[in-house]
Amino acid sequence: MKNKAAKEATEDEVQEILKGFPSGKGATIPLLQKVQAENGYISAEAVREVADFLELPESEVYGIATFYSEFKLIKPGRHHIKICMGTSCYLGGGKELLDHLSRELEILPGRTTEDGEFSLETVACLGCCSKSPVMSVDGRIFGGVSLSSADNILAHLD
Amino acid sequence: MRLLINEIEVDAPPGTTIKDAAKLARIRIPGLCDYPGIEHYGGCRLCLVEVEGMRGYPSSCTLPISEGMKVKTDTSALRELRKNILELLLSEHPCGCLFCERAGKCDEIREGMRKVPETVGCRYCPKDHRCELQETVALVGLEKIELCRLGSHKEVMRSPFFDRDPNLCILCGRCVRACDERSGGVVSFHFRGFDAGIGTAFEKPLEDVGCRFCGACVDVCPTGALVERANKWAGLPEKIVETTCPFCSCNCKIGLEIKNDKILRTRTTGSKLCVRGRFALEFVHHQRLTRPLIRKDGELVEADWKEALAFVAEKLSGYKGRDVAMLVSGVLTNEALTAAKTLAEQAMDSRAVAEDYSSRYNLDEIVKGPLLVVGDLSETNPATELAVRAAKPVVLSPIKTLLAKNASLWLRERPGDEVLVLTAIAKVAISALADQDRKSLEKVEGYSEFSKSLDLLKKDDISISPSEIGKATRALSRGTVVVSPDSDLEIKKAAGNLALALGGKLCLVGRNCNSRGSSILGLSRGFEDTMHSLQSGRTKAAYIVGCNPARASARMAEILSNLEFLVVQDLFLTESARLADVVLPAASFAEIDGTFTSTDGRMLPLKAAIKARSKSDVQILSDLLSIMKDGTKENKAEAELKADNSQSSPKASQPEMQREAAGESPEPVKTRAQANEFIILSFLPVKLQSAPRDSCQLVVGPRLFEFGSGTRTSRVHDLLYLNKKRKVEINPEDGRDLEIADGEAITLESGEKIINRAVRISRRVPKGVMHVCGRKSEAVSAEVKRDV
Ligand code: SF4
Ligand code: SF4
Ligand code: SF4
Ligand code: FES
Ligand code: FES
Repeated sequence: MKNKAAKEATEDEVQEILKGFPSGKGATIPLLQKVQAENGYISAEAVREVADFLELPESEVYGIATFYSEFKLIKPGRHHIKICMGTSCYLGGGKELLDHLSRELEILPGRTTEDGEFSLETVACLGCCSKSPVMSVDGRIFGGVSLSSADNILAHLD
Repeated sequence: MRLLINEIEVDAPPGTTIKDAAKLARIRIPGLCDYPGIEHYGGCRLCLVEVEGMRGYPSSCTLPISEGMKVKTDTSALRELRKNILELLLSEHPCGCLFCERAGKCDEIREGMRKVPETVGCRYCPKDHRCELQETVALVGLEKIELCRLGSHKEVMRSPFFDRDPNLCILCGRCVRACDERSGGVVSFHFRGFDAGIGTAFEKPLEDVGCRFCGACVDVCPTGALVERANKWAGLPEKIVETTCPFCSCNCKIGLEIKNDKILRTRTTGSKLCVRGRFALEFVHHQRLTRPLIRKDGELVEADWKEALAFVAEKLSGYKGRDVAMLVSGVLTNEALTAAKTLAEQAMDSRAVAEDYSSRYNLDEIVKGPLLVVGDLSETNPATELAVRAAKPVVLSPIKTLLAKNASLWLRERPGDEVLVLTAIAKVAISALADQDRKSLEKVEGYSEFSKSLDLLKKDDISISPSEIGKATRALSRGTVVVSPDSDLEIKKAAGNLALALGGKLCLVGRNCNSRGSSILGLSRGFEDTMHSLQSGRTKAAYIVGCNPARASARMAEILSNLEFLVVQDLFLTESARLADVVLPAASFAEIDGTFTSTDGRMLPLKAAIKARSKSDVQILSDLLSIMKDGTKENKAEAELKADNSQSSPKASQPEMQREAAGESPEPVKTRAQANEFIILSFLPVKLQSAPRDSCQLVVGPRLFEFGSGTRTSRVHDLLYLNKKRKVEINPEDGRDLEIADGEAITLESGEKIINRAVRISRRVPKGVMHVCGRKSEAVSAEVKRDV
């Protein structure tokens, strides 16, 4: 029941966002950006609503949303983890860090845990290559992260 | 327009692409993304050419020709470029076999290799020997490749009727463009780079996103990425037999691929097939009856033909006139219908009747004029719908169908209001007539009552606004009113009145492949009478060919089981056959020669493609006729049958559809529509009743995946699956009010009917309306009960 209420809420929200956009294919990208800015991601309902609104096939809107990496199709977790895969971090153990967290949280990069607590993502370079490997949690940057210190950081989030 | 291609002069109309112009001169340019009949795309870059005075290498499939153009298609630079492009394309394709030096010599172990569930090369691919990639490699002359991916990593997706193997996809986009035209874009390009592929939104199963399984994507796919699952590994056919689709009155041409006396697949041969013609012909091989059955001690037991026919002849001779009914249908050939008619008239003093009617019309002609479409043709007559859709008609429909989306004017009535809306348009049309035209209309039979009934129309009762009605009237002057076969009789009558008022034509689309033939033979006449006699118990015996009334309605099943003597002639042991005293097995459409009549009166050939599993309908019926008439008359009967075959002229009109007779009518009544093929005889009174406003409306509509009573389509495995998955469509607002989410199961109560279905939330239906698929079209009040 709660799930249903949540679903309805997103639908209403999307409807709200859709107002004020002209119809037509050209509006797809700005519309998706707006939806993402308001909701944090683009849900399946949102794709359907956008497609309905613009009179486009759902698969085409989904195609556009998946073509641009800026669009997220999965609801981010309460805590959002980014692991740097830039050259320096990669060499410095970023890949091991990613594999470790992926195993611990039981999700692939780009996904959110079932309970909605954590989401995991890779980024190209966070701009602090000297501190490799680097990870960011909810915007806070941690450098020189070992596997155990990563566990520790996650354990102490509220 | 003239141009030079490889020094050869070519003449082609303006707007032609260089690639197509080259084809006219029999010059082959390679290319994997262009396909006849779908939008040009220019994605694969294999069709590069050199054009004098133009820099670079333009793609010939997108560049239109111009006067005096000089084109080269086969220079060494082009050859080199094409090889590079193809090599790149193949680096992501499992193409080992293409360049294997022992290619073709691995036949001995091939059977074993096929057990591998993955396609790692051509010899493991269902498209082997009919793949355009293989052709292109030969054409381009590529002989080796540096990098070649071997295994697959993406999962093969299983859909009804076909499999999708993303590992074999070369991203040519043909399927995307083909689907766009048919079903409005079920599949698109997704993701980018290495992840790029073709798919549905959120990779949902095709059946959940409006795929109509027309197979257009499979037809155009150059590789093994999209292939039919039926007989997937059977390879090339031995022969292809061109014949006519045995389902609806669109009469699409089909090519049957035959191997080992079995239908492997259907080819389109240029027509735009729907799922039925493309994938649903496997019923031919489904548990066919091959020997007659006679009921002995309550059980149907096998008998030989001689015994069965003698028994039928003897029993039937005891019934004459109204005591016996002969029910047929427009799924039969002209020859079989004529034989049934002759048998009924000559040996039973009765008549053959069919619930099957089609106007005479030429689709190519009527789409040139204004059109009004009533009913969901995309479910009943898909190919007709496609042709009509391209013509941007006026559409009357409560459901937002693809046709409604493409309409020039969409009238979204409240379900059940159709008769009112049609009559309202007629009223405006008549009031706008010049005096002279009105005078001639006044002479038409039934006009005075009709015009009186127009006074009863109140605009408040009609769910379409007067301004929309006005717009429709202006758009439709002298146009054609097209009505789907499942529409209610009242709607058909109102559509006829409207056609008369517009000075246009009425086009009643037929249900079956030979509805037109059945109309010409006058078999729809007397259907109602025969039904009354059956229902009242007056009729004691019946002979049923090519229809299955017991499946269509429980009431009919009861009536049939109360008969003294029942003969059923069909391919299978149908619901009706189970009630019969004698069952005579017949040959299917793929096993006989014969003809159907097209809606514009042409004779369409049926060609025997496989060995007959039983006697043909014609043979059974004429054998019976000879037995039932004694020896001396035998020859005469055959002569009469032949004569009947050639004349077949229908007279006047059938009672329930009396206004509309074919052009051959003996007494044309003067009306404004007279110049047309449709001679509309009179205005008919219709019930002007508006739909109830308060309750929730349930619209029952026909369904693409089930044809007629479903006798044949229920014998196609994947259609059964699709029918099981049907849902109730509900508007998002109603969904919210009723607290129902997508996919949830609900119970609908409408009169005595109770329907249990899963819900699909969809804006196709307006608020207050629900849509389900059923056998008969109707709009009724309903109540939603939640499952608790
Ligand atoms: S079968 Fe027809 S409707 Fe379905 S995806 Fe292919 S082209 Fe589209
Ligand atoms: S599935 Fe076939 S038609 Fe569609 S893009 Fe891939 S190769 Fe082309
Ligand atoms: S549209 Fe009609 S005639 Fe054509 S394939 Fe489908 S059922 Fe057959
Ligand atoms: S055929 Fe011309 S670009 Fe593909
Ligand atoms: S032909 Fe290539 S493996 Fe046999």
